[in-house]
Amino acid sequence: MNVLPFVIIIPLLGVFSLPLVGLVGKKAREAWALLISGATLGVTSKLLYNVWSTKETLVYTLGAKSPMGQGVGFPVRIVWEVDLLSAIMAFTIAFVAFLAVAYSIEYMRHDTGLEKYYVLILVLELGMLGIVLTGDIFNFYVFLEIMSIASYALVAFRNDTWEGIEAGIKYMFVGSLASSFILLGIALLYGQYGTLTMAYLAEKMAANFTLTAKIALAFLIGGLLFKSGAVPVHMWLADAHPAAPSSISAMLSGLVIKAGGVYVIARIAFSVFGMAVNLRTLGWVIIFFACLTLIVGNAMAVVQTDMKRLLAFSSVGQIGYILLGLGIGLAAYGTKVGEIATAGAIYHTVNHAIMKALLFMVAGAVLHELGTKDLNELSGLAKTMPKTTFAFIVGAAAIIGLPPLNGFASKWLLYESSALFNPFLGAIAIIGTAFCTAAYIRVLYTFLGRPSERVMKAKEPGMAMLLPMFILVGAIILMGLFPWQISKGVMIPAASMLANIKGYVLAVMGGV
Amino acid sequence: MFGYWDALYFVYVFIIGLIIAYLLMKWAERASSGTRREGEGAKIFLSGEDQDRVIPDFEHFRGYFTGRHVMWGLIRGINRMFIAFRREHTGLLGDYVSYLLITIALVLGALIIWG
Amino acid sequence: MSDMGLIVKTTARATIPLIGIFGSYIVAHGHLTPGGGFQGGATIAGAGILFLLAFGLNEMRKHYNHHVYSSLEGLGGLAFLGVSMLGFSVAFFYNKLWHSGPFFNGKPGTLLSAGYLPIMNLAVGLKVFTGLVSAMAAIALYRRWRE
Repeated sequence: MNVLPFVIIIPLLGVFSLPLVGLVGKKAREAWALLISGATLGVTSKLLYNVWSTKETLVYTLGAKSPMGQGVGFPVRIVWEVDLLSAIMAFTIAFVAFLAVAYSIEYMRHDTGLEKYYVLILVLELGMLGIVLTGDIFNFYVFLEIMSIASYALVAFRNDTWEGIEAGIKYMFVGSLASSFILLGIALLYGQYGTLTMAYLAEKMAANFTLTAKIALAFLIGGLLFKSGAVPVHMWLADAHPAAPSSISAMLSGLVIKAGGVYVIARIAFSVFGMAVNLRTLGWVIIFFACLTLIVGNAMAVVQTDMKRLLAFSSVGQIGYILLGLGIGLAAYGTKVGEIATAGAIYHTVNHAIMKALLFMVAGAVLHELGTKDLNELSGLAKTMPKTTFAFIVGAAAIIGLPPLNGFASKWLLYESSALFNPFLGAIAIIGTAFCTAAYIRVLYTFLGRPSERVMKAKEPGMAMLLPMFILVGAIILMGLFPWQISKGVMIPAASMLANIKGYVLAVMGGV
Repeated sequence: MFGYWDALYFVYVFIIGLIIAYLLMKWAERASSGTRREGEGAKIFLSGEDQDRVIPDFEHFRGYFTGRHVMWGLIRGINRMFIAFRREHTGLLGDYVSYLLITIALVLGALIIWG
Repeated sequence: MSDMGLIVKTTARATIPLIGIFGSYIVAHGHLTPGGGFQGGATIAGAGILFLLAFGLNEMRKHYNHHVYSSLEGLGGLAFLGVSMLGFSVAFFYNKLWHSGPFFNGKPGTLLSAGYLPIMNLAVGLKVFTGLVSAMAAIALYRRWRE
């Protein structure tokens, strides 16, 4: 049985049936959201296992057996195309989204309008899953908009504070503009080549690469850099991610900027434009923005006093690492260094999704218990919330890249490949980590310092919030124990499958 | 793995760094005056503001590690950079849009010239 | 929000059914003529919005039930998903009704053709109508400024 369509069908069923299930009662609604996201997690893990064990690109055609049109030799239908990178992303998305739903059962208990909340969180998950599965560039745009609109609404969900509304409005205006640029790029490509299937587009582009296609690529890359929160277009991120409810921040920071930004940049740069554009130039463009992102994102995290804003800036910095790996993978395409860098970027994407989800959940637990996220008032939290502080220490150590945890392996691959590619880039990466360390040590000092009066009244959050946090802690430690096995067994094959552009094209075109 | 770096070197460097940091700390502790490890108003010697001094509007934080105390040295050291970065984060919608346009223009220029 | 006076209300009484019929026509002929579920649903929702504007919020409250509309919206989505699952033995979104019946497989260009498309148009029309009316009702209900 082909599990691929169920990755979309199950969340879609959940979204549409949630208003009906919600009529039964509050508990039923929560259980249904949990069940749907859990089922999605199961299906994506099966999908990951299938793709990983066969190492073949899965192609699924909507509406017919074969993507080819009747009597013509090119694909006309919408295809979903899944290689190992897509499957890894889909699994990460489903995993973090499941935990975010579980976390929000307790975290959002005191809020109203929860039927909309659970519908939107599932729509967000659906949009991201669609983006990573699709092999059709307009289908990708549709899913991108599904994801973006759900995240605009979720950022402004706490509409009793003006912070949320302001951030949501700003995010919506500028995000729509970036989406329009992406749409313009897609329209230019369609006008030039007359097809929307990514694989066929790649083939036509390799034969005839025009100026229009270059302009289209620039619009796509610009819009997607915005969506992934690269400097200098990261400012919406620092507004939007702290303003959202923490379970949503975990998904926005952990998943949305990667599925809707970095993943798509990788897919478009490698699989669509890989055979046509000068990959060295494209790689250096991405490396340029990655270096800016590394320095500015991590440095801005140092001077924040709002805990969630600090985490959001740290997300910007970590996106810099992922973009750096991707850029080196493009600039050094075809070499061992490039492969290692791409593998490091993919590995760091997964690791950062887990770590940042954990850190935002910790911030949410603090916010839930104390009602503040101002670091100046959180001194000495370790006395009254030891379990939460432990989770934070694990997450912070992992994001800095301390050896026994998962962040070490991915950052190591990135340092190593950037130092081999160009020592200057390696130095920049290390400087970024220095700032990152400074930012997190600051939070840790505050947590471990002498308790202030306000903190003494705090208590640990309930089991429903602690459990998702400790599952993530377990995942971090477990992934940290087998770094090179994961790297060799999953990430390097994913990188080489991504770099195998011809394989991606032939999976749809079928050896024509 | 591959290449000339090895994870073991990282551990060596880390241990040497720890030793150097410890020696530095011992030296600084002896050299500086008025370091107090415990008691009321403990004073850290390298990073941290003087706990005895009362900061206007922050009287109630005296003696606690607050967010502004830690990393004081780093933030003061490269203050100019942080000021420049913070000035750019205006929070105005027009700035966000202009940065988006600048980014797209940069990418467009690079790709048209060298693509 | 109060009502808008006798002239507007009388005109609205006359036009609301016509707008509704026109919207239904667009939905039903979605697979034959320009327009479809979304456009027709939005037109029908225009009738609902005209009702809200002409007769005021208090009158609207009597005829509008949030739970009913929200459930109908969900039903529309579920119908869409269910129809797209009909031909799942071949592929998701496979148009089984068009290829092998038993209904909606008439000659192309007639009303009862195009397989699942008429059903999907109806489902989308229902979803868009209920969704837009709910959105307008919510905007009217939860505004923060005073009368």
